[in-house]
Amino acid sequence: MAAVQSGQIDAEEEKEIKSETSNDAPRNNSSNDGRPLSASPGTPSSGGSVKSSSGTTEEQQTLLAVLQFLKKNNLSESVEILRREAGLSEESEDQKGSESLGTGTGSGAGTKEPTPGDASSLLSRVSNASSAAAAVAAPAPSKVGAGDDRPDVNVVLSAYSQQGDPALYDVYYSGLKKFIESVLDCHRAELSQVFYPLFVHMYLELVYNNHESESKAFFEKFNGDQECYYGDDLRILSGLTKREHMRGNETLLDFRTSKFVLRISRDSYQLLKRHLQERQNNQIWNIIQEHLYIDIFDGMPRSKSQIDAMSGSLAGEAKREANKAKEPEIEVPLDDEDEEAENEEGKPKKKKPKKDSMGSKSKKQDPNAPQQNRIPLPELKDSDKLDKIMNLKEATKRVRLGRDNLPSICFYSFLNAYQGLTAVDFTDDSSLIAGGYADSTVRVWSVTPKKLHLSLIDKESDDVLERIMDEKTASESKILHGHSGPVYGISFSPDRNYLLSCSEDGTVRLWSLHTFTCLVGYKGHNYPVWDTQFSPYGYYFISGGHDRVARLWATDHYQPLRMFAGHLADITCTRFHPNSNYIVTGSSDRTIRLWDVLTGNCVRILTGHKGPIHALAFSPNGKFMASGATDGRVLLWDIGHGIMIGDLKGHTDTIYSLKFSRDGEILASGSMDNTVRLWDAFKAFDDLETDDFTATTGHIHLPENSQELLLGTYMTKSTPVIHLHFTRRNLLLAAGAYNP
Amino acid sequence: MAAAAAADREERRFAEVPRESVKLVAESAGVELGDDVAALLAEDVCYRLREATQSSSQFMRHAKRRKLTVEDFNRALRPSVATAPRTSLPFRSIKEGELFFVEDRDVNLVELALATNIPKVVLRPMVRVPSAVQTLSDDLLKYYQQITRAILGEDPHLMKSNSKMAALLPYFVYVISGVKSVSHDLEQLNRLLHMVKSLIQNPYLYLGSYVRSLVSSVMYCILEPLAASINPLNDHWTLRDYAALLLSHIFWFCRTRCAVERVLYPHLPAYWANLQAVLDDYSVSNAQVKADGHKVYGAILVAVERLLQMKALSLSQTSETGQQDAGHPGHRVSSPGLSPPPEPLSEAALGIASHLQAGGAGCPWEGWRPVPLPAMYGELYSFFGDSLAVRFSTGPEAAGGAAAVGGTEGRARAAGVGGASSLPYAPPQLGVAAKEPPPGPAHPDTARKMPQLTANLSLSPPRQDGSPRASEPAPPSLAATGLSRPLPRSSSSSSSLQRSRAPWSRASERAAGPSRDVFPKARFTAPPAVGGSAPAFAFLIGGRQMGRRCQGRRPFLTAFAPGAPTAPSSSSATAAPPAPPPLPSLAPRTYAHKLPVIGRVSKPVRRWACSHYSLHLPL
Repeated sequence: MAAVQSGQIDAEEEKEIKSETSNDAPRNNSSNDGRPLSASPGTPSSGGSVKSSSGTTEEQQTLLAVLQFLKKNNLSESVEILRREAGLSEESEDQKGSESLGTGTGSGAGTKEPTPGDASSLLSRVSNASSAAAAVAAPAPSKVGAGDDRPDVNVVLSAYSQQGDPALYDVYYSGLKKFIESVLDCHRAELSQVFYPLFVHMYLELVYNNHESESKAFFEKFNGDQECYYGDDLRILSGLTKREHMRGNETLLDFRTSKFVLRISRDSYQLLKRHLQERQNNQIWNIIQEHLYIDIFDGMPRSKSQIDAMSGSLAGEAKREANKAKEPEIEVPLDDEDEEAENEEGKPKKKKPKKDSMGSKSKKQDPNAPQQNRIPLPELKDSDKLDKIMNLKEATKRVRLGRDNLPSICFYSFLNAYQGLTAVDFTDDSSLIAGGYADSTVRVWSVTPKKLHLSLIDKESDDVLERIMDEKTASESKILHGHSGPVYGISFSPDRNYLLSCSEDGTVRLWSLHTFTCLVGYKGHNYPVWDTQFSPYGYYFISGGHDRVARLWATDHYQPLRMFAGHLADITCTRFHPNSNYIVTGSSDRTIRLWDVLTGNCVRILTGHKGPIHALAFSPNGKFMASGATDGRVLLWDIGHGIMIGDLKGHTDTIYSLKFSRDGEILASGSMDNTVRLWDAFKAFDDLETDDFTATTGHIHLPENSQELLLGTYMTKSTPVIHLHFTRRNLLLAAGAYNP
Repeated sequence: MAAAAAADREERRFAEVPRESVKLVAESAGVELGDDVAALLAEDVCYRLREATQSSSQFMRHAKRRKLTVEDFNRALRPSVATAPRTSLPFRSIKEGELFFVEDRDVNLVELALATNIPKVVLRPMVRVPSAVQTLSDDLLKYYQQITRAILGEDPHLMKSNSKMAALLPYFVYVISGVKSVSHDLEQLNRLLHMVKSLIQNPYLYLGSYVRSLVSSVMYCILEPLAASINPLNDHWTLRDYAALLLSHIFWFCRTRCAVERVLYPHLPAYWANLQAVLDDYSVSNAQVKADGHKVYGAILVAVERLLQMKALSLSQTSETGQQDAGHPGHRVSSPGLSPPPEPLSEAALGIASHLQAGGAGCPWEGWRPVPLPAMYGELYSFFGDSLAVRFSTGPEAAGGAAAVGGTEGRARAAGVGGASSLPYAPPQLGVAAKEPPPGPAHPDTARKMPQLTANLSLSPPRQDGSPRASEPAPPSLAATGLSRPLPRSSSSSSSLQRSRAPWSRASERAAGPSRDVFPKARFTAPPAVGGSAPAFAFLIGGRQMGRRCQGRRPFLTAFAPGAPTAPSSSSATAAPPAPPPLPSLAPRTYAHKLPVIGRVSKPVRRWACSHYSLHLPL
């Protein structure tokens, strides 16, 4: 809302561009699904009076420039739509085409500007030019979204071609730095967000224009200004010193193809703008226009801690629209409730004010939840039903966990795992444990006294199966060979008939736990697959890997059913929502994305982690999520509102495993730092009060209570905790390889 | 210098590849680099390494380790650099110069030269082997000479994969056909054989009709009394072995089974006698020969098995077209093997006997006709018995059908240790069959329609003979039919038995229909001189008789009662396994099952019937 208030022009322009992108990539909602143009806030900078008098012509010219561009690129459809929307006739375009082009390139800018002020004319020129440049950049992201591996590098990079005096970069940057340091405290925090993207882009611009020594000097000089959590990116950046290097560098392309999103309050933004105008600092202004998306909101500037909590991702924060505008589209809110969740009577219902959902709430089906048949599922087999009954029986014996009643933890140490244990999974009933190894094998153990086949074979079947049951062939463990690279993720099917494993060799394999053979190799990822998981009802599974695309598969299809593209870096972990309607992916770009399985849309983008995300877990009621990353923090999320609701600090190393207890009261986290920690999830969610303001603005106030929430820390003996699992009776199982 | 200062800083921050190393590597690849180029490259290499290092950390994180390993780095290289070496380069060092270098691979210049310089001449197909090379163009002539010189002088390897040789193929064949001229020189012969092998292995050549010529050359090396063999110091056996191996190679490669079928198979009985004689001689002086004889036995066995396999294959391919009507009865008859209906069984059991007898001695040795698979199998089985490891599928049209006996199975049975239960044809059924004389009228149609089926079933008797004796000693009813297998053997020695069997055989003859006629029986049923003429004896040997000198091996034997030939009905069936070793005089009538070791006749047949099939045994 706030962002668009800057004027009519912006609104118009944004609409146009949106139509264009949606045209280019109709089905694909990549990260760039928002408005790729940030030029909007800048346009009115030429001054209020200007706008009122020449607003329409200027607007038209911009439009025409865009049209011209589209035509040149044979985007006839977009041209049509744009023309229809803007109400332009063809003649008017032809007539003014050349003229507008002239303006676009900035050569004749002066004639259009009635305001005598140098600064404003300069700025307006900049804004015009930038709109053209932005239009150039616009198709690129859509291409990326469409699955093109390599966006047209030249197009992407050409935005850097305009350059000022390289020697002045230093001056510009330090000038801005001085200014930001001198502003009021309340603004300083917000404005200093600019440092990092600005620094990156200025540096890249220098590199692109072959000012090697200047770029190095620039880097040296201002290296320390950025937030520490950008250190990894900066390290990559520092290695990049040649224009040729820019071509293949993925991190760099991410910067180029996506706009860095900043959330800044209107006041702070005005401050910045004014400063830049005064100083005629158009170099910086250019960058802000072209490469940054500034999400302006009205109201109090955010505090430093608020900003820090949300920033850290490769592309800045999520736009507010990304987590909000989608809701009506999918018509199904994210909140969903399993039957199980009814246990939590103490938990207040998270309601969205817009929806009057609470009245019609029934015991069985939460009206907010997606319909149960929304995702087609194969019918339950008898064995599944039996298993469900077993599950219920076990559930009655479940230990009720809480602050004063912590679970017992049973740790499975993998001794002598010199092959390198990379992944572990338990079956839901905790009868089997599987380990993926770096030597490309998968090993399955029975952790109950039953030997492997016995628990698996249906005894009523004919005698062929009885052979399999032969006691002689029974064993406590089986080794599955098939992959040709380290196995990075494994997952049991809920019915314990299958096992999935994904590997560095780019395949996902489905294994039968009856015959202990490989049934299918799913080939689709061309690069290492980092994680895979079965849906809670089986049949579907999700995989994600180095190719930045998450894929949804069904076990009986050898090709993926959905591809979820949008992450800017590797997808490091994937999880299914308990209701199977959504999947969540964590990535090395330090964002978490939630996708709708049915439509393939990205419905949430969650930022706040400062490192690659390696663990994700949904609460059993499906409303909340926990995520863990290499930064050692566990973040709690309210999925419905798309906001962070907790930050659990305590771990000192990468968190590889997260799990909620069966009734969602305890969150367990396992980490590389050889500890298992238990957190009071009940309290964390209970304290939560999401008011309207927070919900709409996304300004979060995190309670600083992570030490209160920490219920216990349990050290292992030099064994990183790779996997955690709550049995049906709420005993906590943990697993890891002893690492002497 | 700002650049230098920057470079210094750079060096502090990252590891750098000095430009000298880049130059060095370039030099080792034969490229001279300028300083500036080297510097640029060095910088780029540094950057790429840094990039790879960055991404390798990802592999480390996913492997849930804290230590970065070499493998992580290799993996990081793989997606970006397509050709990351799997094996590390073999660096070698020179101590004096403190220099490390990658060892160069040896390049065969000859190979290179030959691969590029051969003029491509489109040859008209030459069917006959040219007698002279004069017609060749200059280039080709030169090449030809070079190669022949290479072959006769040095290394024949270049022929294996040279694709440009097709033009010269006829000439090579010509060269090879000159084996006779060098038969005094083992070395040269060896080279020629290797050349043949290379030609065969060369995937670019189509040998076509030249195979025949090649085969004859190889055969020459195998069979002819080579001049070189006069000198006892010459190890011509190795050559012959190799030639034989090569021959089998050729057959296998060119899928020619006809050679085995036409040459080996018809003469097998005659040859067998010789072999048998050799193997039966237990004298010390014969040891070497005997060892060779075993080798030969094995070779023949392998060849014959292949022959059967190929035949079955071709049969199953043509079965749809040729034997439509045979299809369903075949199924009907062969399936009973697994389930009760016994009639066709016994009928077939007799079938073999009838074949043997009815064929008579008149079957022409020449005038070769393709022998139907079942017949062939039956005959071969009579030679090799259970050693024949070919197992046909039980499908109806795999005519040979009815799962031939596998080696181990046969072994178990032959040893008389009671493996009977595994046999598809259970004794009780046989009993029934015995009681009810072959129902010719009952199933005349089915039997007549499909000759190969009766033959197919004729395979079953061999199975029966071991089992009843072993597992259930002598059910009286069995006596009659249980002998269906021994019967033919004894028939050669005692004609009375033949006569006694006659009615049945005639009945089954009727039932068996055409198959009988197709079966060339002659050599089996030429009994005139027992132990006399080799062909006649051949059949006996098939029964694996053993002589008195074999007491020591009793555990491996199932001895049959001496009275078997005259009273085959009950005595052989009831005879206790550890029967006393038969008297020498009775030896031919005494049967014993032995395993891969070939049984022997008490009176070794010293005379070799057909000397040209002999093995050139050194005497």
